[in-house]
Amino acid sequence: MERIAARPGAGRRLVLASLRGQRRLLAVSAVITLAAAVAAGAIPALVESAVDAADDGRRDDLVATMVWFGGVSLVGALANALQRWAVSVIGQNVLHDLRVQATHRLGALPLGDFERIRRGDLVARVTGDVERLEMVATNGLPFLAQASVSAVAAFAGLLIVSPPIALLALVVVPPMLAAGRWLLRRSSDVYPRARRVNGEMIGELAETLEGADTIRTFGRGRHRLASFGAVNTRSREANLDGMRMRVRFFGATTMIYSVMTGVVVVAAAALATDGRISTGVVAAAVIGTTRVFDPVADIVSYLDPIRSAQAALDRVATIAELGDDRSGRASAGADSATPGASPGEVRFDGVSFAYRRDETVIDDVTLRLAPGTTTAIVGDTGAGKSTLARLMTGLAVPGAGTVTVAGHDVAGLAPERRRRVIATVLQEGFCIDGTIADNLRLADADATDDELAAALDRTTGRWWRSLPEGLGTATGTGGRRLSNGQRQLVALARVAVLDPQVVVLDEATSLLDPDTEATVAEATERAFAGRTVVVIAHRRSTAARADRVLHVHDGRIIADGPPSEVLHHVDLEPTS
Amino acid sequence: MTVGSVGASGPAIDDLRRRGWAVLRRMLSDHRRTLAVGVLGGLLWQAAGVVVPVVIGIVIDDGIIAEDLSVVWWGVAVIVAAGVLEAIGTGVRHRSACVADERGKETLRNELLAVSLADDPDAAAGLAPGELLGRATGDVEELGDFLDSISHTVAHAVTVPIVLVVLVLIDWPSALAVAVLMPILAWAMWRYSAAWERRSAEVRAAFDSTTTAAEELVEGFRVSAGLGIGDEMARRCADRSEVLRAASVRRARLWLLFSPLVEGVSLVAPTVVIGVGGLRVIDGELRIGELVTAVGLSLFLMGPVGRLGERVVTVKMALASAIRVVELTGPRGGPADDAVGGDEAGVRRPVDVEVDGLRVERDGHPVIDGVSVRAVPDSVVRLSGEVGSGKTTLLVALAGDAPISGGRILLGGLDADDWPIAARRRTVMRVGPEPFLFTGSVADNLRFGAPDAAEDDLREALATADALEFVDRLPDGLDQVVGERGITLSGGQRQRLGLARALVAAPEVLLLDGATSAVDPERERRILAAISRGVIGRIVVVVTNHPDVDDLVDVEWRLPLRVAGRA
Repeated sequence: MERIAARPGAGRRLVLASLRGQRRLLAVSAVITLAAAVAAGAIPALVESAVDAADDGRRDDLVATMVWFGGVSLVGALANALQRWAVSVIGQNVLHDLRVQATHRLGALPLGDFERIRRGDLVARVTGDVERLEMVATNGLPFLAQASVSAVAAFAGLLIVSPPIALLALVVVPPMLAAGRWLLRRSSDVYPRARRVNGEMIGELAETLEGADTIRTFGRGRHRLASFGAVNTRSREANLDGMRMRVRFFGATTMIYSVMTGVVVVAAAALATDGRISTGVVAAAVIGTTRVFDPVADIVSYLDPIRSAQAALDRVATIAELGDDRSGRASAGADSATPGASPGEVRFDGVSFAYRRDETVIDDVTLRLAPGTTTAIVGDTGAGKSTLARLMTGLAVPGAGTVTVAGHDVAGLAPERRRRVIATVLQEGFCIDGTIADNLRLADADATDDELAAALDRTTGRWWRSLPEGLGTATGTGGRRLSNGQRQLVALARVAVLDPQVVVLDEATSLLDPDTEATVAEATERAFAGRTVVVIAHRRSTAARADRVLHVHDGRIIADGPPSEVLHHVDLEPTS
Repeated sequence: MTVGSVGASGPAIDDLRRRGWAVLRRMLSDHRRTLAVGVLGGLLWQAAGVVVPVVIGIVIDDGIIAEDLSVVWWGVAVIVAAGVLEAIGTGVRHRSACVADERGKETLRNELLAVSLADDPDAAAGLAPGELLGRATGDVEELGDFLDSISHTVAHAVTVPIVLVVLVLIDWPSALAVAVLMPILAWAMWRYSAAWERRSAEVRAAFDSTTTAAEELVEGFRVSAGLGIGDEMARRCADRSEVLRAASVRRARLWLLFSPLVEGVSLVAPTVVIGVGGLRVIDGELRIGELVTAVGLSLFLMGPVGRLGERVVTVKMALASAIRVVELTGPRGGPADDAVGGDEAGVRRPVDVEVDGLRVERDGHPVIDGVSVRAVPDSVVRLSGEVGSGKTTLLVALAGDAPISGGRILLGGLDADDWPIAARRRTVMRVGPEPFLFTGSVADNLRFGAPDAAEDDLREALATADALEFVDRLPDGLDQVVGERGITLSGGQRQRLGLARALVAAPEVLLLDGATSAVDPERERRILAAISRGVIGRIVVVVTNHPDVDDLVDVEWRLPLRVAGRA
């Protein structure tokens, strides 16, 4: 199992592709930004003319300037709001595209590829990373965009009012840059560590909550609390390290700012006493510098979350590019049925398969399964039973030879067509969080309630009618609100809704008690009567019920015949 | 997240609300010293912020216009000194706020976990682990934000009237204009953040449901790949993602309404001050520097006033979170002492089991009713019954993890309710089909119920559970790390480790509730035979799918099926 290495540039490619689809919104946003900038840039000049008008006793000019000031403020406020909104909508659209792309690719990933990925890693990406991006799109980007516009516009405004003072105010830039660089350097150490320790804390918290019953059973509550307390304290300390860093940074920038204010006041005083600038310019310069500084401080504080979001974006976008480098046999035209093939017929013609180059798992297998028969596959762990089943269902693609089901080359069949032909049923009664009906509709989104009820009746009997809410009964996350047996029955009914010609049953593990197992076995037989059934059997009793048994050993079929002939040679090995 | 999720009504809600406030008050008093220091820092920070516009006004009037450079130099010195004080004040405030925030969250997490591990099965209010985790993270963060906001809020609340007084002294008409605008701004900010939180709740709900769908895509991948419904699962994610996108865009729309309002009101104040003040300058009633000070102060005021409006929502959110937390942290205490040692008075040893007319309900419906069974020491009991007959419910009740609503359970002649909980857990232990293994070594997991067990005991238990062979084959043997962050084990291997763990703890009554269901039949029979050989002095109750263990079983408990009527 491996982590997916984040592809550099994956995030950029995805964002650019998404932005190309939003040209109109981008154009609108650009126009609004311009308006916001002009409004912000006009403020110092308006302050200057108001103060000068008051100083010179020009009443009419003062009133006119005040009206202008109010109007420009209003336009600025509106433009700012529009800009923030537009940036936010663009960001949300990008995130939506990212989520859709990533889950689409993930859903279409070949099983073999999926199993090489660490599940915990994937879940962390679809939750933690996506959440970080969400926060930046809501609280970061819109404000960063606005702060950047404000800073540049305010500086331009200052430059118009008094070029020397504006240039002098630039003395603030080198120390601010130095402080910003220090913050970024420190934060690239402090914040990831805090995130890691917080992750450990949450991990232990989650593990303790999930294992609470076990902890109670063994009377280990106190002990577990103490060990959580330790990581809890470490998490607090790691977060407080972040606080210490921020205290120093904001302390430094506050002082830099006050020194700059002092410099501007001295310069303005010197120029004013020489009579080179008016009192209005002095007021405008002092107020104008505040308007440059405030957004700059904001920008610096947004930098770190945005940088860490960039890494998160690359990681998630990599999922959206999964499978890009495979040839994709599932191309159109590949899935035309061979004429004359009968429904429910399975054929292997000289099929070989290897997960890795020199480890042949299936070695030149040729066989035909007749429609409507039940075949059991038996053999040791690692003999190739499961691989045979995967080849049959198109979840693995043969290195040589072809596998056809009802005349279709399964490897080239699109999933929505393949599932009508052949499906695998795992004894893992997986349920999505929703109602029983939601779970069944995964197989056929358009099925009516009556069709679902019929499928349930046909396979599982009237069991489900005793549930208080019937089809609308909630299954809970992972089917937690149903019992093990009930989950299995729902899973079986789901396949009945799908109604494929060939069914592969994997008897890998059974979490059922004997009475439940009998119910499920009965349901299985009812559900797939008349279908071609392939069972990967671990129990002798299961294999004995089949019409035909294939004994697989080292990737070859070493025995093939009715159960009475084959089974007495086979020592059904334990698998768990 | 809403208060409604509490699921109570009327007086119950009032009671919860009262207790929610009590939680907030307790948090304040627990951190009162830190918070007080934070408030002082906040006041220093605000005071320094007020000084700067005042000094600039004086510099303009008495320095620049009066052409007295010494005033300019003094003024600059005061501005820089104020900068230093502001830096110190900001630092002290931020530090204290963060310390209170982090300490408060740390304490709350510990308390919530203690409740979740409490022995009273009601303590966790029947919440699933995911919901508990949500409270221990989301709600605890909300309460941390509340502590974090205190120093800000108090400093602002004190500063606003003071600045207003200063403004009256300098330019009373401006002060009047600002005083009129202040409540409007505070109201706008309050409505804005309330609306924002409402929409955020929608966004959060949509986010959670999108995340759930994505997790299900991953967790159910093997199943959906087998059925070829991967595209359906992905489409579910896409549909929910669209709901999330729409909710986020709807929330962003609030900016269109509120931010021009808030920003507009904030800018009306200086506009009015410039206009009115400017006319007074022309009339000789105000000096230019005083006008600049008035503009500066009016701009300065708008920040704190807006923040105070937002705080209404912070407190409301904190209260809602406190109510959700208080549901869990009633007067119920944490887990009992770890179960080691001790003997119970009046108990017959070895312990026998007597169940008499037992009734257990779920959601008001009986799951089992009138169940009477018994078992004597040295016996193996097979428990059978159809799907839904309540086999697991009976065993959970025996283990003390389900509230009983009728009948009684006697253990060694003593009513189970009268047993000290730790002793009862040590005596009766249930092992389910999906044992939970903790991150740690195999040995750590085996010693979970008996920290001092010798390695020989571990090996003996592994041998009984037929797990010794595979554990010895693991790269690190007994020291192999398993669990979420360790190596992956098959379902059968996990079950055998779970069984061995229980055998190490050596309870007198061992309930095997499908504990060997994923183990292949031959091995399962071997395990049951070994357990039945070691049953001396104990009782083993087993739910098994093995067809051929009659010779190993002494008694059979068969439960009748109760079909629940439609509600």
